[in-house]
Amino acid sequence: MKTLEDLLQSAGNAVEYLINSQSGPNVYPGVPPEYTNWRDEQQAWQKTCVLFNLSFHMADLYVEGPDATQLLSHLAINTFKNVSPGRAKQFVPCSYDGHVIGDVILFNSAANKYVLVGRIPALNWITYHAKTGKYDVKLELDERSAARKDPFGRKQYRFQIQGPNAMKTMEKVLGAKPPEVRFFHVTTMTIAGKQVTALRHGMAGQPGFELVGPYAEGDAVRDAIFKAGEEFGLRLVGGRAYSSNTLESGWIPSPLPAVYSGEKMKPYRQWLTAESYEAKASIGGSFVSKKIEDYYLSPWDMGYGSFIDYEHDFIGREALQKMSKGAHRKKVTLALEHDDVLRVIGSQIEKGERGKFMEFPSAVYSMHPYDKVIAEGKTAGISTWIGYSSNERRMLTIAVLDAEHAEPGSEVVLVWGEENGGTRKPTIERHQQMEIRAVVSPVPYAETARKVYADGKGWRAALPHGV
Amino acid sequence: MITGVHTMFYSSQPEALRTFLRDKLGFPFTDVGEGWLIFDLPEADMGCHPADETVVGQASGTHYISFYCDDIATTVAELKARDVDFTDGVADVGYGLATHFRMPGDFVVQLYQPRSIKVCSLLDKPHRRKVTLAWNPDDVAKVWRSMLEGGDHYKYIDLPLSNYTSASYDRLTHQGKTVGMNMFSGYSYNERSMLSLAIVDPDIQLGNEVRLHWGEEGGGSKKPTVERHKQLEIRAIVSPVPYGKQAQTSYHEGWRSKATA
Repeated sequence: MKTLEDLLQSAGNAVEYLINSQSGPNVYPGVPPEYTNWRDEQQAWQKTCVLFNLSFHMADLYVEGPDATQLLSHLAINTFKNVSPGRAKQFVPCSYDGHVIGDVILFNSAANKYVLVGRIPALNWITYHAKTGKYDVKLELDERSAARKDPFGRKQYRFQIQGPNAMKTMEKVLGAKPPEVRFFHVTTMTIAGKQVTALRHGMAGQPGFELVGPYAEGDAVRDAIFKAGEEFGLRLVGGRAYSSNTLESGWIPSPLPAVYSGEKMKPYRQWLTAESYEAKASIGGSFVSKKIEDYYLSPWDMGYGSFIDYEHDFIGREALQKMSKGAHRKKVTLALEHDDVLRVIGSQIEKGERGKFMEFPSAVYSMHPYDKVIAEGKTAGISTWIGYSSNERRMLTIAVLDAEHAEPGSEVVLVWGEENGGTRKPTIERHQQMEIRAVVSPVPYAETARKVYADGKGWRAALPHGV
Repeated sequence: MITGVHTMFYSSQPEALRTFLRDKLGFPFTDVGEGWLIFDLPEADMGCHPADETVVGQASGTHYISFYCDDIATTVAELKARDVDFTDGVADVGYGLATHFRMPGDFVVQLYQPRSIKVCSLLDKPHRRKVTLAWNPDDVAKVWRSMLEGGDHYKYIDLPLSNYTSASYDRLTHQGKTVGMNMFSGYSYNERSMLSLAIVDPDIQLGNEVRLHWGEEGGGSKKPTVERHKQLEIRAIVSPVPYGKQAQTSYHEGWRSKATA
């Protein structure tokens, strides 16, 4: 069977391979593009409340056995000292060189019993070590819908209820005040006669819950919440609005997994098949470097510097220790200038050069968007996720910039579109690059989340999870 | 081939009857000299009825002339306003609604509103027709600009298909008058334009600039696909169906200069 390493060897250059990936558009699966219209669906998460359906686009990896904690702790930059049954945390594995492979949410349900939920690269990395290392663990992977023959045969449903009226809706559907649970702690509740596992969560500074249970019970739970939420303006969120929600809350969904280079990672690339996510992934955008390493992100780039626990032994520890002494880039929101955005959009209906089509509300056209950000004529960083927020009435991106250009209020330029008319990715029509001025802004951008940030409670209270 | 039908009234008061036909009934005419006016008729048809020797005027060999109209109530009111003398009220006579009026020279003629729709004559009448509308790019850009500004924006234009109901009916106006409806809207990457298919009144010509009322009244209906928004009049050039090379050329040559507003 062909491996990722085989593909990279025959391609010669990992960047060339990934920027010309033939995978095609990444469709948010399982839910319609819009239940109502994406403008109102976006506004509902800031003004009333929403029910997200996350049952299809993420993979779940169940890890169980005497060595489960040891395995996971060895792969995570995070400490496991504060992990205990009934708690969840963001799990961030890095490569030997200290670059992020992915980030997922880890749920600890019992001693040495975990489920990790998110994009597949982090889960592949765990699986590889579990299978090739000397760990006494049992794994079960419940793949995302796009990677399975039975897209709707998931083990569990996964919903989130978010927004200022989320708790009112929960109180109505539960018939009592929702239980007091600390952030990222898990409780159980009964909805529509079904037992539901509930993670205390939040978005844009507003409390919410992530709700999980057996897939077959999902419809009953969703219908009950939808009915209860009617008087509180609850909306179901379709795929179009969903993929844009991270722009307001500032989570980067799409770090390129740092697995495409390095001798030490070679056995892993030989383990990953030609059908793996890593082999099918695509990079898109104006940022281009011959070196694949330039696409890797550090924990600091993603805002996870404070997660690193040097007290425990984990892959990447030495490299991160070295990196910790250097300068770090900073994650910011870029608020794009209206006139320049309109020039790109307007170029679709005018003679002359045509910019890369800017889809609403998510303008992302590859699995790993990397656009060049320029300050004072030099590359100042990269921009990742991009899209429109009906709440903020702006095109926003989540970017990682050199610290000197990352101060809120700084002016930078985003280069929109790809070099030389565009790469060979199927999502790319011939186009010309256009410059868009942008103002560096805080992360998360949303007003309410900014307030939480100012209150000193920490912006992580606003982390979504998924996408 | 026969190119028309000629009818003749034999009247004891021919001049009064000509005046009546000219002034009361309002038929256009040609003065062929010596007081003779030959009237143009708007439309004519012809029928054959079984003869009835016992009824006056229905013996075999008789011709008969009557007038018809689209809306008998309105037509009767118009004629009464010109002092036309009706001999009876409007009655349902099976083949339509009929009444009778007097004309100089002892005529009593029928005026009726036929029940049946005449397929042949409809074909000859001017019809509404299907056209392509090429939207003004500046006005389209206004919609997108409003998405980036405060307050209610204009109805979002999704690309490439911009319909937000299963059957779209956008009002079209020309010089302030409703002249049709816009029924299917979207973006063509080939033509680099927002285009739509519309039905317009017969007097709207190719090249006319009409106004497409984009969005719904009163902030929008309660359909789930409709966010709160305001309406915008988008200028659009009436273009052929299918939207061909010719239209594409004229669009590129000068969008507004071609408009005959």
